[in-house]
Amino acid sequence: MIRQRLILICFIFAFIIVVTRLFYWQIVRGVELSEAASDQYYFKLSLTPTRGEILSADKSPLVSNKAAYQAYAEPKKITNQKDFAEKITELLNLDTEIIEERISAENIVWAPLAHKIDEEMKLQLETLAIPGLGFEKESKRYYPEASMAAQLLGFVGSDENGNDTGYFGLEGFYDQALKGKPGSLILEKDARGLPILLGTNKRITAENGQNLELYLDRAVQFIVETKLKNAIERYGAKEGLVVVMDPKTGGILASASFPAYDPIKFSEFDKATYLNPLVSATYEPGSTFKTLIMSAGLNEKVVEPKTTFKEEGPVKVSEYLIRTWNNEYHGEMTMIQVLERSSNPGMVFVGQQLGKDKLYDYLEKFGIGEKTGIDIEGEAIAQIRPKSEWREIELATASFGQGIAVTPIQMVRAVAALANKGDLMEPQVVKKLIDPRGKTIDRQPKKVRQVISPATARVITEMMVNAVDQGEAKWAKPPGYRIAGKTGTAQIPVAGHYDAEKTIASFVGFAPADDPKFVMLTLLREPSTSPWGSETAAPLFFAIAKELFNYYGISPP
Amino acid sequence: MNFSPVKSEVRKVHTSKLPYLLGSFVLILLVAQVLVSNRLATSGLKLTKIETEIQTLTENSTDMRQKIASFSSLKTIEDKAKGMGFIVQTKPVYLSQEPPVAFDLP
Repeated sequence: MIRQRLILICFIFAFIIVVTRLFYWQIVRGVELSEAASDQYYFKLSLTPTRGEILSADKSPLVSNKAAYQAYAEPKKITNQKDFAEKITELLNLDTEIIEERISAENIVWAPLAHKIDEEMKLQLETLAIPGLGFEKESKRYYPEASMAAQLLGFVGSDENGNDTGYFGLEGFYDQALKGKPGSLILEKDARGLPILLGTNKRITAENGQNLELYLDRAVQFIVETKLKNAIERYGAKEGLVVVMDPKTGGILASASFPAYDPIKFSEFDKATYLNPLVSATYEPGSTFKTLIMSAGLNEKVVEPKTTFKEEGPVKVSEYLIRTWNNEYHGEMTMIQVLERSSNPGMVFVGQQLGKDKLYDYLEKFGIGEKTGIDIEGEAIAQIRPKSEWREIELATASFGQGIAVTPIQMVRAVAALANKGDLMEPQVVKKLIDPRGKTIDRQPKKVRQVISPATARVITEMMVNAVDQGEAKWAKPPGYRIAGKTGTAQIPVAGHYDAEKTIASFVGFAPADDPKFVMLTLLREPSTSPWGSETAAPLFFAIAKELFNYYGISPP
Repeated sequence: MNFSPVKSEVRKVHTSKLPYLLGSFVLILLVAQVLVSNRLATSGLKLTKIETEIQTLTENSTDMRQKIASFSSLKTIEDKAKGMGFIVQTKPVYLSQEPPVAFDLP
C-alpha cells in the first residue's frame, strides 16, 4: 500500500514539474520564443519609398534619383580582417581603424561600411572578390543640371537615424511630401526561403514621394547663372544675387546667388553657403526703395508727378545732414526728376509729406518686416523698428532706403506689386505637387493684398521708365524697349556706422513696362571696380533682360 | 397479388444513395483542395521570380530615366550645339521694326 502511494506521489511530483516547466516555456518565455521563431519562418522587409523628383516648368528633372548601394561587411565570413579593412578603405577613402573596429566587434553578423556608393565603385569593389563584403540597393539624389539652382533646391542628407532627409531650400521645406511613406512586407517562407502563398502574407505598399513641378524655367535660370558668374568676375564683387519673378503669379522664374555649393558634395562646402540669401540675407536696399515710397506718396496724393521740390543743398534732419549721392544739387525739380536723379533730399520731402504714420503703414502693406510666405526653408525677416521708436531721422532715412533692412525676396515682391496693378502676390517656387498616381495638386497664385491703386501703379511705372531712360544707367539699357527700373547703391553698416567705401549695388525693375513679363532684382555686394549700382548691377540687369527678350520673343514696341 | 413495393421500402431505396453522393462530393472537394493547396504552396518560386523581374524592370526604368535626364540637360545640349557649329545669338532683327539696312530707298 505504501509503495503504491509512493509511486503515486512520484507521478504527481513529476506531473507538477512538467506543468511548471511548460508554464515557464509557454507563458513566461512564450512571447519571446514566439518572436524568435517567427524570424525563422517569417520574411520581413521594409519597403523604402522612392523620393519625389523636382521638375522645372518644362517638366525636365532638376533633381531625380539614381541607383546606389550600401556596402556592408559580414564579419563571420571575413577571412583576414586587416586585409579586408585595407582594401576597402583604400577604395572608399575611409578610416582604416574605424572599419577594423566595426568588423571586429563581438557578436556582430552585419556591419555597415558606406552609403550611396555608385555603380562604378560597386563594380570596382566586386572585382576585389573579398569574402564578407556585400551590397544592398538604395538610391541617391541625381542632379542632371549639376549645381543649377543649388540653394533654391537644397540637398538631401541623413538624419540622426541615418534616414534620408531634406535640408534647406525645397528639399527641406517639402521634405515630408518628397519622402513618401515606407511600406512593409511580411511573408511566411519555407525551408528554402521561398514565400508560401497559403501562409501569412501582409503587404503595406510603400507610397512614393510626390514630385514637385516648379515655376522655374531652366533656360532663364541658365541665362541668369551665366550672366551672374560673368558679372561677379567683371566687377570683382564678393557676392551676388539675381532673382526673376512673374509679377502676375508671384512664381519664381529663376534665382541664382554666389557663392553657392554643389548639392552632391555639400559637405565639402562652407555651411554658410547652404542658406539661400534670397530669403535669409538682409540688406539695406538704398535707392531702389525710393520707388515704393514715391508710389506711397502718389497713392496718398500728397505728391504728384509734377509736384516740385527745391534741391538747393543738404537737408537738415535733427542733427544730421542728408546729401545727394554725388553732392550735386539741381534746384527746382519735379517728383519725376527726383526719381530720375535719385535725389535723397527729394525723397526726404516725400517722406515728410507722407508723415510717419502713413509711411509706416505703407511699409507694412508692401510686406516689409514680415515673412513673404515663400515655400523655401530658412526665410528670415528683419524687424522694422516699432513706429513709436521712430524719430525724424528714421522717417528721413527710410525714405531713401537706408536705416531699414529687407530680404531680396521682400524687395522684389514689393516692386512686383507696382508691376501688377498694385496687387501684392505671395511668392511661390512650386507650381504643382504630383502624387505617384498622377493626381495633381495645383498651387494657385495668391494675392496678399492691394497696396496701391492700378492708376498709381501706371504712374509710378512711367516714372520708373523715365528713370531708366534718363538716369545714370541709360547707357546700358537695350535700345527700343520700355523698361521700368531703379538703381540702388547702399552703404553697408559696420559696427554702428556706415563703411565709407563698401556698398551693395542693386537694380530692380520690370519689363516690358506696359505688360510686364518679369520683374527682376540684381544685387552685387562690394563690387570693386565701381561702387555704383548704375555701373555694376544695372548693366547686369540689362544684360539678362536682353537675353530674356530674345527668349520670350519680345520685340521692342 | 400485389407486387408494387411499399412506399416505405421505396423511400428507403432512394435515401440510401444520398449519403454516398454527399460523401463522394466531399471527397472530391477534399482532393481538389489538396491539389490546389499543393500547387499554391509550391508557387513561391514563381512569385519570387516575378517579383525579381518587377524589381529589375523598375531599376532599368530608373536607369533609362536618368540617362534621358542627362542627355537633355542644358549643359549637354549647349556642348552638342557648339560642336555642331551653333553660335550664341547676337542681335535679333524684328520685322515689326525699321530694318537696319537701307531697304526703304526713295
